[in-house]
Amino acid sequence: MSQSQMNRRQFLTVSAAAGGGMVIAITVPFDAATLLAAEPAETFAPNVYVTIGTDGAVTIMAKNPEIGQGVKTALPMIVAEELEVDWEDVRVEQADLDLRFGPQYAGGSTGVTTNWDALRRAGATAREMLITAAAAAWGADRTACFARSGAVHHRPSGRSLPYRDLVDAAARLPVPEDVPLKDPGAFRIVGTPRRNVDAERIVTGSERFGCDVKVPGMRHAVIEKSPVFGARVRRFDDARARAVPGVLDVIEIPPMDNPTHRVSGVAVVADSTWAAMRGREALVVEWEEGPHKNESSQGLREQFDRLTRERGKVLRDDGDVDAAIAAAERALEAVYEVPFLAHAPMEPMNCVADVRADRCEIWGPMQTPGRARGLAAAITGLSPEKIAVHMMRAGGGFGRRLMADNAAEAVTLSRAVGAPVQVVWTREDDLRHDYYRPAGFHRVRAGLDAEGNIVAWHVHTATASRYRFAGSDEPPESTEVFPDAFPAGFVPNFRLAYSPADTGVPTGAWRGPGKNANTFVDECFLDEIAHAARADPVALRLRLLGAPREMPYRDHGGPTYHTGRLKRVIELAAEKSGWGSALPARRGRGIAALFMFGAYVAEVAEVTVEEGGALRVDRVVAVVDCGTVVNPLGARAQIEGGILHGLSATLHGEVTIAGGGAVPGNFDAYPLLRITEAPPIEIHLVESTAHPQGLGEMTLPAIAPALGNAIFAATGKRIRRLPIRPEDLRG
Amino acid sequence: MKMTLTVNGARHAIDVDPSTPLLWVLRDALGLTGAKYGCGKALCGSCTVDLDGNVVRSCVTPVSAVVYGRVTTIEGLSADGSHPLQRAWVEEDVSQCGYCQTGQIMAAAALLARNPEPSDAEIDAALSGNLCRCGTYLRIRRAIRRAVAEGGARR
Repeated sequence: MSQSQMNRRQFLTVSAAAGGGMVIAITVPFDAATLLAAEPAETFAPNVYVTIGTDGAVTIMAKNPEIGQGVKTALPMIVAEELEVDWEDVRVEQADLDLRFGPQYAGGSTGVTTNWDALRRAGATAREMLITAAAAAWGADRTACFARSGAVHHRPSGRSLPYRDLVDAAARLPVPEDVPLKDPGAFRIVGTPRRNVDAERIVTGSERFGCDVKVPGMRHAVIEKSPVFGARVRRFDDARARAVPGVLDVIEIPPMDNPTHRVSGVAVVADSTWAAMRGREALVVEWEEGPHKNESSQGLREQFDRLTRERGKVLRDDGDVDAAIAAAERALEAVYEVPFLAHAPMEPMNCVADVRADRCEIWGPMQTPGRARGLAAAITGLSPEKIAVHMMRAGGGFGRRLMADNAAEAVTLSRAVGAPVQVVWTREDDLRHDYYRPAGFHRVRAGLDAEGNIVAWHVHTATASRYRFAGSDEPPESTEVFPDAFPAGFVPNFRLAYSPADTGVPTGAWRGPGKNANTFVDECFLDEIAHAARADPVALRLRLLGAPREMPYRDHGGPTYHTGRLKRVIELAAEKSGWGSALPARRGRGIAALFMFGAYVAEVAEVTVEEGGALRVDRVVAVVDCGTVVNPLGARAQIEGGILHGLSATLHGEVTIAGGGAVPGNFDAYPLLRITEAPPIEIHLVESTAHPQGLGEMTLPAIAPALGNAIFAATGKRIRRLPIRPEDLRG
Repeated sequence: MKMTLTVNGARHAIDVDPSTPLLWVLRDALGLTGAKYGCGKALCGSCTVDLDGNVVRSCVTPVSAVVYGRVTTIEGLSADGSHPLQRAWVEEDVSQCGYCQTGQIMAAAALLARNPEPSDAEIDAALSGNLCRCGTYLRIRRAIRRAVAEGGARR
């Protein structure tokens, strides 16, 4: 599909899917055929990823947005591996949005796993052409030639030619369709630790993030939005705002039909950020508050509670749960609860747009540049090929930037004022106008037989569905619950039901969607069952999983998963953590494990809880099987990062709702984990040659249950509501 | 209001509202974007700069309060990224998204300037005002220890 073929209708299709789909992408065929040849000149550019200059400079494009997940390093490593160049000689450049790259987004931990094959082919194609060019230059048998370290070598004669001397000839060759890929045993870059390619620029402050973009003539804008979700501007008085020195304009922003695209607000445009902020303080806006103005956390909790007592929409119903529980030797029931969570990336949302009559240019932190382009096209009426999108290194994402509302706002304002505009969100804007991790209740019941076997498991989940909020055609339970997730399929009588809550609180994808809540529920309830059955929690899981085999999994990461790989990470976590060895009083260990997005994770947390309730996480042991590891350094960073992010939510994360809006406005009311609270983390990567999986999200969900289970082991107190409150631990 | 500001050893004549936070003067007027906006309330440390050897959160520091002092930003910590902490940050591959790291480094630099051999607890205490959402804390600790071990404190 060419760029010009991407029309408005296709965008709208994409937009619906992007209402929270884990694969947010413009669907273009993504294979060797789309790696279109560039024009040969002073360079050899067999496809959009690789350029080799006659000076020998090797440039590899980083196709996806970099939001801290490390793909700007990992993806070019894959190309460089097959290209047979030394990593030290490679310059990595961030690509703009360009359909020739195929899908460009950051979501679902898919960057490495979905690009692996295509990137290998991109590098290998260039390598094979360079070998062909060298063989021709020597009049040698091609099979006697090989590439290594940026040169082609002729084995019999020992001659060699550097790539720079082959660029002209290689550029004239046809691009081969089928190229051999390297034997993984011969990898020299993939699987070796490589540092963040932007490290030097980051530590000197010279790396440009979205908020650092400056365009000549650029204005600065901040936007006042209603404290009540779904409210609209009724009228506003901008006289005092316009009197603030530096304020240039005050503009109403109308909501778009879909609340994930752009919400109602009043923008103050000024010649500096501070003037815009001051002007906003002087603005008086009256809101049409709409139907959600009385919503509160307590009201939502009552709704969740009521919904989970009903039957709900049954999504899986194996055997006869009710009869099995009635006949069980022992029955357990519990309600688990999780709050709304804000993404709170360190860089609040922002975006620069420069809209002209015949074109539009956008710079910003984003996870879905295609969505930014689509919204810009819808707002300006320009065709997509007239809209350039530059993905700046983003100060975190975690799912927040799957929405491109920042781009929609900047485009709207630039169009209105006829100049480039930078929209900046304050932290208060960020925390109060997020698309939150859905809050919810999970009512779970289980039946045990006389031997302590789990004969029945029934869970009914009610949440503020993100698909429902986005008005998607997808059913509301999508990514809220997973009917094939363990222990489904291992318990003969099993029922999973779901109910969406009626609420105006905006919800979206938050690192590890669905899993970040369900893993807490399932893995803690399993621990409750183990203790009730006087079984060891590790032994109970291993017995339940049984013989190693494939199990169906009809969600992202499927179509199957392997119980042997899940058992392996559990066994290793037990071994590495000293599971079962004695601990001092008030100290305990807890385990949790999961299969997610193709990877297998087990974590053991070890905690101390003082008499007064003070909690200290003494250590965390994490075992991860994500198949082939591309960059062990990046992998470890993602594992540590996921665990600490999960720990932050477990200990502190809660967005309360009052008066139809979010209460916390800054980090005093929405605390994040600090360095003083970061425990030592021991990481064990399972050696594997399996297809590589991502890692951005998979280690986050296990830490809350591992911690909750450790607290129970230390104190006998069961954590069923997040975040953990001091009163949960006292005594 | 016209005033003169000393940043990274250079004098800058500026004309801004004196209540403007130093952060926005650095970023919007002087084009020094290494210090970042994160909260506007001195709660996250992304905007950390050095004022006469002290850590200040530039997002809440009115520019009028620093006209008599010498401000050092990440751009002035070294001309070329050669400060031992910057080297250690690269060696330990601390950065993930990287947004908070300039503030983290400035806070660490102020710590080492007054306490060349900090204990682990002192490192944690000095950096406890700097949030990182990616979870790089463990590597931040390692990088500071590395800089100390390699003589960063004596710079």
